[in-house]
This record gives sequence, structure tokens and C-alpha cells, in this order.
Amino acid sequence: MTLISRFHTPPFEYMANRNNAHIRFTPPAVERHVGVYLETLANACKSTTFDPNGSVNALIFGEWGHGKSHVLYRTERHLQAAPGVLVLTLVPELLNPKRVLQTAITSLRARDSGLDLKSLEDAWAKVSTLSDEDRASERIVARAFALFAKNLDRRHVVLLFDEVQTTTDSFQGFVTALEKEFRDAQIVLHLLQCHSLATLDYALKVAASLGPWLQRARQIHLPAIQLRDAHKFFADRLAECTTDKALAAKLVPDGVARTICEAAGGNPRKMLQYAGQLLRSCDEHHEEQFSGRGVVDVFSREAGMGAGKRLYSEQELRRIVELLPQEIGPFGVRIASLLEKRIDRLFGEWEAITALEISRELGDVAAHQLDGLLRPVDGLPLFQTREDDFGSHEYLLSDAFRRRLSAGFGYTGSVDLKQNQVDLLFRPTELQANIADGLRTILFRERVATANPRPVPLGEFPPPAPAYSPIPIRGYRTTVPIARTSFAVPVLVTGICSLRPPLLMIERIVEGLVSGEWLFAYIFYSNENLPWANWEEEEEAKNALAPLKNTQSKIIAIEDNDWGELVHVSDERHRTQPSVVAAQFFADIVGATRLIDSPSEEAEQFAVRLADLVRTRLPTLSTVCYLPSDDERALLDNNDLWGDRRSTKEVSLKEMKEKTGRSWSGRDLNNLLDSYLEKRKGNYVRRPDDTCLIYNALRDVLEERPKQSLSVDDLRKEMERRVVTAGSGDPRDVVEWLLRKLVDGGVAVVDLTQSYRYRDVRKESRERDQSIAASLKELRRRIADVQKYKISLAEPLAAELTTCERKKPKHDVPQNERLDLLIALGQDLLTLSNKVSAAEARVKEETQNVIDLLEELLTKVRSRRSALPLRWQPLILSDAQLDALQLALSHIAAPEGADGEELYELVTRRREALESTLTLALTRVEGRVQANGDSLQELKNLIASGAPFQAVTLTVEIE
Amino acid sequence: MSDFVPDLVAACRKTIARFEKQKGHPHLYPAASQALVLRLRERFPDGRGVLDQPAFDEIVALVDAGDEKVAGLHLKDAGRAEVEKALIDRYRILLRDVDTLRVSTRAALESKAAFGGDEILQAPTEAAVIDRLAHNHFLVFPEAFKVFEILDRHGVPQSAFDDVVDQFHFARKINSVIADYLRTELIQYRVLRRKDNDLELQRIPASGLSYLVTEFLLLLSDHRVDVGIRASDLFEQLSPFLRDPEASLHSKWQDDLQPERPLINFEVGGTQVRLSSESLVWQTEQGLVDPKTVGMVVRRNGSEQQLSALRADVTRIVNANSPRNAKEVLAGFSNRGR
Repeated sequence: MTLISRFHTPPFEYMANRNNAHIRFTPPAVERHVGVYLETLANACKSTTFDPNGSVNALIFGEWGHGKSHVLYRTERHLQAAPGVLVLTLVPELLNPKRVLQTAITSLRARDSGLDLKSLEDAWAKVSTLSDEDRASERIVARAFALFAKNLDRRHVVLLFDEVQTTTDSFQGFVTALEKEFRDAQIVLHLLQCHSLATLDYALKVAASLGPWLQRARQIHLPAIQLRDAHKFFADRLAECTTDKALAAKLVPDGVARTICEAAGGNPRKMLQYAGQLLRSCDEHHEEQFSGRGVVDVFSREAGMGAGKRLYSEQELRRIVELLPQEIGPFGVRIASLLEKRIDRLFGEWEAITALEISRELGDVAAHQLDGLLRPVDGLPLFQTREDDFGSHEYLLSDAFRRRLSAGFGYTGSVDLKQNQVDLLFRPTELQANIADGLRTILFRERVATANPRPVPLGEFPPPAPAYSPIPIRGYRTTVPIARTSFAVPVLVTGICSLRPPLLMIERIVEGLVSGEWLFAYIFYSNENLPWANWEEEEEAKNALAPLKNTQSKIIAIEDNDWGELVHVSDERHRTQPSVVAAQFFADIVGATRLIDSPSEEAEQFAVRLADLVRTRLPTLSTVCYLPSDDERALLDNNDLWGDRRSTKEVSLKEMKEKTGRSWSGRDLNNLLDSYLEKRKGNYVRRPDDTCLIYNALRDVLEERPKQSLSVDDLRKEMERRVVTAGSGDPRDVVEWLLRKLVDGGVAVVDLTQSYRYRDVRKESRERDQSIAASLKELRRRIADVQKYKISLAEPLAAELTTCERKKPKHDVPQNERLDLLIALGQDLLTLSNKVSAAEARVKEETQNVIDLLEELLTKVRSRRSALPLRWQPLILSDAQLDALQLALSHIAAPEGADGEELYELVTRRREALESTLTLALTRVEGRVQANGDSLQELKNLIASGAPFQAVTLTVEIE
Repeated sequence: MSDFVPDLVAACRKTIARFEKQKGHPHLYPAASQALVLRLRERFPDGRGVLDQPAFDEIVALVDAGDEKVAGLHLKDAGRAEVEKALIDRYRILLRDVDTLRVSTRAALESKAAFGGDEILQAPTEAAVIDRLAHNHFLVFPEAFKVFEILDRHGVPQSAFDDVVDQFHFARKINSVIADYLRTELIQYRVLRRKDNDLELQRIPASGLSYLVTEFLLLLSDHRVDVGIRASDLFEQLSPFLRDPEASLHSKWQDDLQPERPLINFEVGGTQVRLSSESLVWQTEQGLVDPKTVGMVVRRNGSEQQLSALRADVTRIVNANSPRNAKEVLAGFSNRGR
């Protein structure tokens, strides 16, 4: 009995047909999806009443050989017994109404179904003369199909379109017309389309042409077979073709299945073709099981990828065998021998040899010598190791060596890039989380992220159909280093392709930015129809981003222009289709999730380049301000080390150690660069306070609220809105530290409650300048007044005033210092003013004394005069003389018309003159004037003296 | 939903208090600890036994000097004392009675997720002994969980350990000495391995796996419990740490932890996975959940009052240590934001 004869149906039939339609799909997820679709469709078809929303549509896509026709036959088979259902399978050359009708008629005639095709043939008569692009055919053909079904009295029609290789922009119009005509005829139309989607631009075209229908249809992707599923793929198939369960399970061992899968690039049809050949080889050699030998034999004959290449290259093995002794020496000879002896199993059966066994094979070498197996030959590692479940090492051919030996069909490890690319075009929401996962892998693997990124749920996409659960939106939080420093900041990374930024996602990102969960958010973004900048202009975006206004935290979109160069486009025409390029780019990101287990050169290169791109966007010390630790602040405050605040002294690390008692490394100090220190030829210079972003932010906050006293916490909160900070220092401590500097710098004042208020130096200086000028003028005047009365008092005051005038600071002095000088000058002037006041008081007192004295004299004169008989009074002192004395006295306090020393002399003179005049007047009214023989005077003295007399004898001599 | 929060807070505070009591992370001489356990295993193959101090000293001396089968480790006096302390005070493989030392059981340990001394000595192979020690090591020194933040299977430069220096994790600050110890210990316990100049994850004991699974489930659920998470999402998160996460999670890994009920439940044909509130409380009590993570759960599900008690505990320890990541740690307990 031959091996082949033990199967009741050919086990490796690679073309789908009605007979093998029952075979299950691999992986099980696809079988599940197809099963759910068929059950849903069958249930819908059971309905005997017309439900306008009862359609069950599906889009099946996958590459050539991935099983699309298989789905079609399975659907036909599933519905074959369903009553009242018409199933039509159509394989049109072009997806337009005219060709669809033509295909339907041809197919039904070929099936010899006996159905009345009149309605279809009548329609063909009408459309056959029209061009393929003529939209008039849409309605005619749609109506013909509806009429055809109605005539057959079918409640449900299932149209299955297979191998649709091309589509037209008008197909969506045809679908709409079909749906309308069937609805009018009260027949439920179910559509299933199979698309090859061999190229991405075609996939994009299909997506565009199907429009909203696509969103209502179940999308089932038929992926490439993964290595881990290869054995199951064969075993399931074999189990359907034989009753010998043991044979089905063991015919294709796992290792051989993997090798076949790898060579076929995971293409099921190719896998079946190769397996068919191996079965014949097995049969010829009377073997019960596929072996590595069979694989090597068959693959040596099978064409591989590339002209003249084979699926297994004996020449490549020979090359390595010859190079081994040259590159590794005697141990290489042993390895070469091992390879020659066991290559069929190592390659064909994916054999893993235990350390113990391989050691024996190589001639009982010591365990440490086995490391030699891992050495590269011809730049290629030949072996790789892995651990078995018990922790023992096993050796197997490296992936790179396997690729060298076999020119397979572009197997990309466990990643199906094409699947990812098509998915991104068709189901971008479902790939979002995978994009984020890929970014996570790349960023951590390439050390862009210093901490293993952790997932962050960013909301959910609404489900595409009620049967589906919501699709999560994901980002990753990680930390990234600040270039040239030793500190890192938290960031969020995510990506979306061909989608409008979901509002919930943006709101969550903004929330994280505001609360400091992450300081920046990076979004890899592509949307041909809505560039990020355009989205930001929308009202919805403005509202969502509003909390970030006036903050430094932001969302950084990395768009097509940024990463365009990273995408290797096989067809340059695709460059003009951003969606296609984006699909390739994001598919590469998604594929990166398998970098650990299935590294490929292309994927690794992509990861390196993407990481380099991200590095160019990372925050720097100019965007993130470092919060120095306690030690670092003490270092920065050490004036013994740096000199005074204005000093630009260069300090070495050695000096720092001497002055602070601890050693500092350049790495430690890198964090302080920009904001606090400057590096000059290996030494460091302390930077002015106002180079620090935090300092400036605090000053700005205080300046904006000049009349408000703010607490440290208020200031800290406000500062954190304005400056992105990170570092080891406690933010509150750093804020207090810088506030002290603001106070010291004269920019702020602190009150007893430890609240801070702004001090406007310029304004205050201006006001003080004006007030000092006014004070000086006033003092000058007052001292001059003092001088009028008492020069001895005014002289020292005038000297002090001159000193003060000299103290007035020039305008080239720094504002803060100038203000301090002005304040000191103000104090000096105040003191001087007090002294002047004292002098003024003294002058006033002395003046008053003089006036009092003079007034007393005048009063005496008046009183004495008034005591005389009225008729004598003018004789002794006339009224005019008395009035003149009074007037002179009233003017003595405020003389006018002179100043300075001249005034002083005038006043003195007048005072003395008045005093003597008054004294003289008093002697007159008292009758004490020297008569010197003047009889009249004697007479006046007699009268004024008040002495009693009875008669006065006058002797008058007349000449 | 919030009914479980008081239990969770209580469990977490209890764990914090337990770790606070055991100060520091001493030099454990992991190679010597292993050698000593292997000697004890020879002595007590059935995992049960009592020995007096001289007998124990004799075994320590054997580890020190070696014999015809195993080379000695040449410990100094201080080293011998440290190894004794590690085995008895920290790993608690032996428990001290008045005059004797007896092999511990799981029931006698504070964390019920840890292997008892008897289980370690009865491990089927020497490799299994090391694995069980590794499992317990995470439970005794939970700062070791930090390693999952800095590396995975792919491997990172050894200098990555510098990134954890001065960082607070779980209940301790990792200074440069502890970071160095951690690296040596985890290599010795075969959790990590050197590959050229890099370090990569080699194997994760059940305690580590439990920690990762819970952390990722909570991250994926936005710190809600009793919600279904897509199993594929969890597998994806674990894939940097495990070669085949699906197989690992469907294996008997929970047997090592001996939880009262399954730690996680697969449902909907295995496509969904769920972490129950009871499981979270149990894991927290055993020292398998970072207090910061607990804080996030409480913040999401509990009241400010419940959170504040926990915050006070953590703030006290954090402030006493001034770690670099204090801000980040305490943010987890903040009543502001999420």
C-alpha cells in the first residue's frame, strides 16, 4: 500500500474546489471569523420576511493562494440547502455592471441551471452596446438582477464576487443601485467580494471605490501562515483526507512544516505545492514521514526567489564548509563535518541539538568550547542557542544562515507586512494599538526610552458593528533622556494612521500633559485628508487643546514629511500616494513588535532609523529646565567658589571639590548646563540668574500681578504651567531657592507670611529719581531759607546736600544696584531733611525771639507815647514814625529781593537797624535823648519824662 | 466596586509595614546561599528536619572550605555570618527556635506566595532549587521587580542598572550598592544572563510573572479590576519578557504561588482575561503588587480618605529616603488628576 493511497482525497490539493471546501482554515482565528460570518449569513437567510437592514456583507482579502476561493466555495456549500436563497458566484474580469452581468449569464448558462435568464439577457441586449464606463448600465443591470431573483421567487440573493483583480471608481454606484433595486423588489441582497490586494495602491483603490459599503461589511483577512501554525495547517488538512489519524499527525513533522512554511513565505498554496512534492518523494522512498533529506532533495530542485535560485542551495553550504577551517581553525573543521553530516536535519527538520549531544558530535569538546559555534563565518552566525524547558542549552541553525541556504519567498518572520499594510488601509482603528506596540518595541530596543514603556489606555474607538467590542486606543508612557545629561523625562508615545485624531484620545493626552504624567506627547500621525496643522485649526481641536494654552507641554506630531525617507517604496509611483506610503511606514512599525523573536535585517535597519528620527525630536535642556538637587544648589550658591554674583570666574572640578568637600564629575554637572552653568574649556562659569527659565517664569508671574502677594505654592503651580521641569530637586525647594534670589536681586519682596510680591525696579527707580530730584530741590530751598537767618546753621547742611547730590547714581549702573543706591540716597536725604527741619526750627525760634524783643520794644514805645498827653505825642514821636516802625517789624521775617549771603547781611542789617531805631524811639518817648544844649530837645525830654512842671519859660531871641 | 478597597488598602499597608521592618538589602552572597541550600538539601532530602547551631555551622564551614565534590567559596567570617543571616532572617529557609534551627514551611512564612524551606529542599533538581530561591528572592526583596522596568529578553547594556540607582521601588530606595547586589543576585539566580556586554532576561519565576501580569492588566484596564481585557493585549505586553506568553500563562505557573483562587481568569474561549478584586487583594498581601500600583487602583476606585492613609505610609518612607523618583512615586498617590 503506497503512502498516497492511504488518503481518500488528495491531501495537498492546492487549488480550492467544491470537494475540499470543508477543510478548515489556519490559523484558527480565520476559521472562527469565517465560521461566524457563515452562521450569521445563514441565519439572516432563514428570515422569510423582508428586512431592509438584513444584509450580511463581507469583504475577503488576502494575497494569491491564501484561500479566498476557498471561502467562496465554503459559502456556496454552506448555503446550498438553504431554501429561498439564490447564490451566484461571479468572477468578472472587470468590476463594472456590464461585465458582472456578462459573467453572470455565462456562468448560469455553463451551469445549465435551467433557470429563466430572460431578464438578464434582455438587460444584456441593452448594455452590450454601452462602454464599460457608462454609468447608465448600473441601474439596468441592477434591475435585471432584482427581476431575475423575483421571478425565481427568492427572498435572499447572495452575490459572490471572486478574484476581483480590478475595480472602477463607479463600483460603489453599482452597489448602491443593486441595493436599491433589491430593496424595491423586497429581496435581501447579500454581497461577498474577494480581493487579491496584491498591491497597496490597488487596496487603496478598492477601499475608495467601495466607500461606505466597506464600513458595513465584515472584513476577513486571510493571512500568511505563521511558522508556529505550520504544523497545524498540515495536520488539520491531512486529518480531513485520511482516516489514519496517526498518519495525519506525524506525516509532516513540526520542523519540516516550519521549513516548508519559511520557504513558501507562509503562502498556503505554495506550502501545499511543496508538500505535494515531498509526499511523492516520500512515497518513492517508502517513507512514512517527511524528512529533512526529502526537504533538501525537493528544495534543491524547486525554483526559489530570484533568477536561477533554488529553495535550497548546496553551493552556499559548500562555501561555508570551506571557509570554516580558514576562519575558525581546527574547531571549524569539526563544525564543517557536523554541518555536512546533519544539514538535512538541521535545515530540513529545523533540528535543535542539545549541548551534550553536539559536544559529543564535535568530539567531546568542553562546554566553553561550544561558544565557538556562535562565532560568525563569512560574516554570518551559523548557529544560535536557546534554552529548553529545563534550562539546558540547544543549538540550531541561525535565521541568517537559513536565509543564506534557502532563497525562500520573502518570509518576514512572524510578521505579515502585507497584511499589516492592507489592514492599515482597511481597518486603521484595529491597528492603532499595534502601532503603539511597535513604537514601544523600537524605542526601548534602540535605547531611546530609558524605561521599559508601559501601556496607557487612551480611550476606545467606537465599534464598527454591534457584534464587535470597542477597539482600544493605546499609547505608551516611558522616559527619554535629555541629550548630554543624566536625567530623563516622562513622555507619551502613540500613533494613528489614516484616522481623524479621536477626541477622547486627545483629551486623555492633554490631561496627562496638564497633570505632569508626561511632559510631552509624541504622535506618529498620517492622514492625507487632514494634516495635523489643519486639524489643530478646527474648533474641536482648539477646545481639546485649550488646557495647554500658556504651557510648554505639548503634543508633537511626527508626520509624513518627517518619516517619508524611512519608507522603502518599491514602486516610486507610490510616493505620490501618501496613504500607501503611510501604510508601509506604519506596517513596518507594527512589524517591529516581533523584532525580538524574528529579527530581520530590514526591520532592524528601520528600527534604527526611526529611533534616530525620534532622537532629533527629543526635548533638550533649552526646553526642559533642570531642578537642581540640594547639593547642586549648595554648589551654585557657593560664593567662595564662584565669586560674587557678577563674577565670571572659571572654576575647575578640582576647585569645586576643595570648596564643597565632595567630588563633582562632568557628567554630574551636565545637568546644570544652560540654566545654571556654562562650560568653558573644561572649567565652569556660573551663569546669571536670569538665564534660568524657572527664575524668569517666577519673575514674570510676579510682574504680571504687581499688586498681589503670592505664596510659594501658588508660584510653584504657576511656574509649572509655564516651564517644563525635571530633575532630582524638589520643585518647591527649587522655587523657594530662586525666589530668594529674586528677593536678593531686588526683583521681589517677601513679607512676614512668606508671600512674595513683585518689585518693579525700573518703575521704582524712576519714581525714586523723581522724588529725589524734588527732595534735593526742596532741601536746597529750605537750607537757603535757613541761611537767610543763620549762616552757621546752613553751612554744614549745604555741605551735606552737596554730598548727597554727588551720591546720585548714574544710569549705567545695573538696575537693581541703582535702585539700592537710590533707596540709600533717599534715606540720606530724609536724614538731611530732618536736620534741615531742626535748623529751621532753630531759626524760627531765634527769629521769634528777636521779633518778640522788637515787639516788646515797640510795645514799650507805644505805651510810653500813649501815656503822654495827646497834644504832646506827635512832638515826641510822630504818628508816621510809629507806623514806619510797625511796618519795619512786620517785614523783618520775610525780606524779599535778595538771596544768599547778601540776603543774610540785609536781614541782619535791617534787624539791627530796627532794633536801634526802636531803642532810639524808646529813649525819645522816655525823654532820655541827649539834648547837648538843644533847648527844644530838653523841652521834649521834659515833656516825655512825665516829670511835673507848672510852667515852662521860653526865651526867644530874635535877631 | 469600592467594597474591596478597604481590604486592598489594609493589605498594602500591612505589606509596607512588613518591608519597613526588614531594613536594607544586605550582601547575600547568593552563590554561598545557594551552595548552603544545596548542602541542606543533601542533609534533609525529605524537606523536614531540625539541626542545632554547631551542626549548621558545620555545613556553613563545608560551604566555605568545600569538599571532594564541590569547591569551597572561601567566605570570610563576615561572609559566613551574612550567609547565615540571609538564610535564616531573610529567606527564612530555616527558622530559629530556642536552641535549634528547623526547616520552614510555607505556612510559617509571612508571604504565602513564597516557597517554604521544605519545598525548596524538596525541589526535584538542583536547577529547580535555584528557581525556587529566585522566586522567593523577589518576594523578600521586592525592589528586584524594578529590573522589569529596565530590561527585557532583548537585552540592554549592563550600565542600564545605573538608571535604577537612587530610585524608589516598592518599599525601598535602590542605592548604587543595592543596584550592584541586585545585578549579581539576579544573574546568580538565572533570572538574568550576560550576553556579550549586555544583560538579558533569562527566565522569570512565578513571582515575577505574577507581578508583570497584574501590572499590565491594571495598566490596560486603566487601573480597574473585574473588567475583561483582551488576552491578546496582555500577551503582547508580556512578549518582551516571555518567549511565548500565551503558553506561559496557560501553564501551571500559579502552582508555585498557591493562591486561594486563580490569580487571573481566562474567559470567552480564552480571548479575554480578567483580574478579580479578590486576587488583587491576595497578591497585594503577599507582596506581589507595587504599593504605587495599589495607590493608582485606590485612586481610581476608592475615596480620598482611603487613599490618604496609604499616601501617608508611602510619603513617610519616601521622604526619609529622598529618592530621585520621589515626585513620580508620590504622584501615584496624589488626589489630583486621575
